[in-house]
Amino acid sequence: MKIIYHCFGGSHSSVTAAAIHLGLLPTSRPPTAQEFMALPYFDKTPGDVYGVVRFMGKTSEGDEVYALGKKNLGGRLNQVLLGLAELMGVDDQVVVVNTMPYVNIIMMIGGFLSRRLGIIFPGRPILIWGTRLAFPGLVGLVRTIKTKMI
Amino acid sequence: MIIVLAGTTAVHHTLVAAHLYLNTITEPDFGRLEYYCDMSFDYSGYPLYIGRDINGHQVYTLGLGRLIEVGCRAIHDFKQIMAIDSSRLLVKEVRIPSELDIWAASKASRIPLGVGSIINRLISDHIIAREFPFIKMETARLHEQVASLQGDGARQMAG
Repeated sequence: MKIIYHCFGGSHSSVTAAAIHLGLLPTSRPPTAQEFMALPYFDKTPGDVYGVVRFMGKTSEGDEVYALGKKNLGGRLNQVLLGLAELMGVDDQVVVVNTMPYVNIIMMIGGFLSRRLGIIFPGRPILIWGTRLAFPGLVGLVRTIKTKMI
Repeated sequence: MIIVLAGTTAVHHTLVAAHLYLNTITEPDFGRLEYYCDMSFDYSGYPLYIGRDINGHQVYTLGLGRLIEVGCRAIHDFKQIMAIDSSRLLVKEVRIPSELDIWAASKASRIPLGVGSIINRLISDHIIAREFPFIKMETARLHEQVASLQGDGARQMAG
């Protein structure tokens, strides 16, 4: 099974959800800044990788997890990718998940400062604060996805 | 093979390109085309089935909005991770100079009392008629691509 988490930039909420899915982050507490920054691609993505589906890792069950930044394509991307998967008869082999509903305004401000404007300080601390606040929601989302996959 | 013509919407120039490819229109008379300018078929985001070509290939249109490059790149990578090659699924971008104007006109279709649909239709008719030669060129390229992929497939079978 392939699981694709997607958000606006493909470097914060989708990467965090993918990392939760892969067991790279603790789920009993919000991760520390160091734990977030140790993740591949977290707040490191340049602006020109929109649309690139990036491999995040493989679960112990053999599922491949990916992160994708889709700019303002919105929830439409789910239908586009699942529609194509249906046409090819592989819709039972892929899960496409929009993480944007879990992104809060603090993450948006922090991500904008850090990624778009390149102002790492205070952008990154604000972003990590927002991601810690959004973390329980993302953990719940990943749990739901994993339950549906069983 | 499944052929998907991707553009800013599924029901404007992509639809015309699909019908040109299928030889169901030859002149810019779009009025009789099913789904033409009907955004209710585009909002879902799912590929829209148009017909089959003489070789039995299914032809669809797909609307990606104004971020067509991002959408096409995502589809390209998606095909790779799902191990779908172009001889099974060919996604062809249909690009014309005024595609963003068509996208903007399509947004007007949300204006109530049918006014939006009229605006969408008038602007789209004007742009697509003006850029009909570009759409024809895109269709010619598609024919070449399909022929090339069919040739490759035949060579693989023979080999």
